[in-house]
Amino acid sequence: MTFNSIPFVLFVLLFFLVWARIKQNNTHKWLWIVLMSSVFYAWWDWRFLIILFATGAIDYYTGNKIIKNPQYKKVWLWVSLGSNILSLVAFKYSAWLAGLFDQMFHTQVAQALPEFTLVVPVGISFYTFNSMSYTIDLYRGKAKTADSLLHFFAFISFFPHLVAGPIIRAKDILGQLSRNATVNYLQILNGVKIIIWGFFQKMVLADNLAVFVNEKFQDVNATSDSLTWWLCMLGFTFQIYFDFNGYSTIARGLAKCCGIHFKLNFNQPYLALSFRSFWQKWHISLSSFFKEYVYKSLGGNKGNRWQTEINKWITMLVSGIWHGANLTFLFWGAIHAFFLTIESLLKAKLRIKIPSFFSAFVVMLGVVLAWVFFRANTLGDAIYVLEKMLIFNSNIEVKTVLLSNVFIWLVVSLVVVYGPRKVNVFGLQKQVVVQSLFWGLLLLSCIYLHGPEQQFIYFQF
Amino acid sequence: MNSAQFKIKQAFKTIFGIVVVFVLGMLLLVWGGPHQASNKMMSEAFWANKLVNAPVYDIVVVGDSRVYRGINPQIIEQQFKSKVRCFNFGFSSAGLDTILLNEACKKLKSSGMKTLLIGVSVNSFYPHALKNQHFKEWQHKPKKELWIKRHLYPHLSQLSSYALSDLYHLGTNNQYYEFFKPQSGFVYSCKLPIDTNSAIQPYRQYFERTQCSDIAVNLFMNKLAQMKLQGYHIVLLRVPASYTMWNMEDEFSGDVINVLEIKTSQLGINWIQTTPSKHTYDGSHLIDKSTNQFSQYVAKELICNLSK
Repeated sequence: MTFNSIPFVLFVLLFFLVWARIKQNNTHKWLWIVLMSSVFYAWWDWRFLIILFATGAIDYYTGNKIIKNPQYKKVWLWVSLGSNILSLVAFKYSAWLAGLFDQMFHTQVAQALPEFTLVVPVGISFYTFNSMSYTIDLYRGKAKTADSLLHFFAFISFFPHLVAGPIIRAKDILGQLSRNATVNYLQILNGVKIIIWGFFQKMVLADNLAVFVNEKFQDVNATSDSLTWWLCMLGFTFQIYFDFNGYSTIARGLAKCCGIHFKLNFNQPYLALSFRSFWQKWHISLSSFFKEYVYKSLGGNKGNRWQTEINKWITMLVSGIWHGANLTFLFWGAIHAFFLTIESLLKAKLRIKIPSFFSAFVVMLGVVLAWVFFRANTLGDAIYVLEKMLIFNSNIEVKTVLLSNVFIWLVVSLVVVYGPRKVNVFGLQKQVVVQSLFWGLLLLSCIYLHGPEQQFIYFQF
Repeated sequence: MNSAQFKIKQAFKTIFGIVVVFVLGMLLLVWGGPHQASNKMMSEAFWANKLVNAPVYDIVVVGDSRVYRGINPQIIEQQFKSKVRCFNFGFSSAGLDTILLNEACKKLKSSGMKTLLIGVSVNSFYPHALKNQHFKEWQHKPKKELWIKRHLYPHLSQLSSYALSDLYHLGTNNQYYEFFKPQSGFVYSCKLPIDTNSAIQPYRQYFERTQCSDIAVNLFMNKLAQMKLQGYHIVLLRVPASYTMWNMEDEFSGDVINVLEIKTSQLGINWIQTTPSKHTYDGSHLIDKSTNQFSQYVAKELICNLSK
């Protein structure tokens, strides 16, 4: 069940209708969350629930063992990590790895794989990371165990963040859920505004941009014009931002209506002045996960410069492959690692101050070019598109570009991303009429101006 | 009233205000909003219905967009004196392969006329069409999604979103009109202003890049022979496009339709004779009004064929 679907609207209405009555009851509210989140997830395929709750139960059990048997805590941590990584490998990477193996050694391992390995459970990368963070935090003494299995299941399955994040740590959510938070109209209004803003980003901006981008990537060889590819990649740059930020924003809004605060997952990443800053602003929950649990575990920046750079590369490559079982994602991670390395080397050597608009431009250019690998279906497609973009050759009339749908949506996107910061949609004048008009019309635009229904891009991860 | 209470009260009023603006806006758009040239929700309901409707038909028409935009099953039904049910199982850029033909056969009643009317286009034997992407995209949609689109979307069609072209062509006739008929699988369509050459160039570019598949043509003929043995009544026709389009198609494909006609006639399969048409809106698809005339002609020829 995706957020931008009719069943979800009915689902949410039912959820909050009952939630309003039971949120003060300490047993019922946990049960309701687990029950409804299970319905939400089972809407795709009920069998996915088995994986979700099986890996969750292992993590809950090993988490308790880590606290109760501190002398064996490392063993229990590895049991937890092993089960999560195993489920990720089995469901997400086995088919790809077997394919690579077959290519290299001319075997037929892929054909021998069981059928279940061919279907990736929706959001598996997100909930395994949520679950893993729990045992790692317990191991490091940074969190307390969940009060019961029911509470733990409520944490991992809580539907707003279940399938596409943000990745949330147990300590951040269990405490909030345990409190009997009262939600007043002001919080509901804020939640509703955040939800509408998320839907606007996803349904109006991302889905309309997707039409052009999907068409071009369906058969890359059919388009050789450089300007078209630049338009397409700019379109994708904004599409993926609005798609994923839209989802995270809706998730934050839904949680807010339950009285739960999710941290910001995107903080204007396309205004970043460096690649390092970009990664501090883009998919913050995942970036901090990798920083905390991969980069720092490898030693972070405590070694010499080269060790630091190697740690950076490993982290970015893991981040790339986390996004999908395809070499294109690995290359995407590698390109960003390359940018980060160049940036830190230049920073050490150059002492001149670079104008911020120039830094922002260079970062944006790098990000756009790197997205080619993220979006392309194969490495060959990515190289073809990059070649067309970089060896400029275009015959398209400017008038045709200016009148195209994608250009119009790009202009709207640019206004939303780079428009004057002082016009903050959440802080518009407080008058009831102005706010009602603004948010009511924005909601109307989600119904009447949305693009063709598209699944959220990050669901595949 | 303290400041916090005041803010909460204002928030309540704002939530109420958002709902009012939203509902009023919807009502305004439903009753007086800009005309939608093509209703997206009806389009989704239309395709969902094609996939899941029951096998209750006597005649099923199959082929590509020229077929589902050109042959109106309702008109065919009207021409028959006895009660006959006809359905259009056409898909965009459909390739005439075994999978599509098998699916079309599944829409036919097990007893009755069991007639398959196949609209043949040259494009149907080209690699891109043979992927049958549009058909497969719908075939692989989850049953829940198809159910919702089939049963709920027709009732929610007033909430269908606008295309940008609806808005920037406001007050002009520059639009691509589509009226979906989910019950028959047919679409009335017309693109204004009419330009009988607009589809020629994209087709030419495509034909230049690729080749008509002889293997697909042979497989198609084998399948026809097999279906004939299974008791299906098969009638073929070439759906009209412009003269220029037909000439170009014949030139690039090595006259594949004529070859096909000769070989299938040897198998005892009948063809309805058609000619190119002046009445297309893009060189490839018939104008909405001329589809009525063409469907009547097809029905009459079909009746003759079936009575032989």
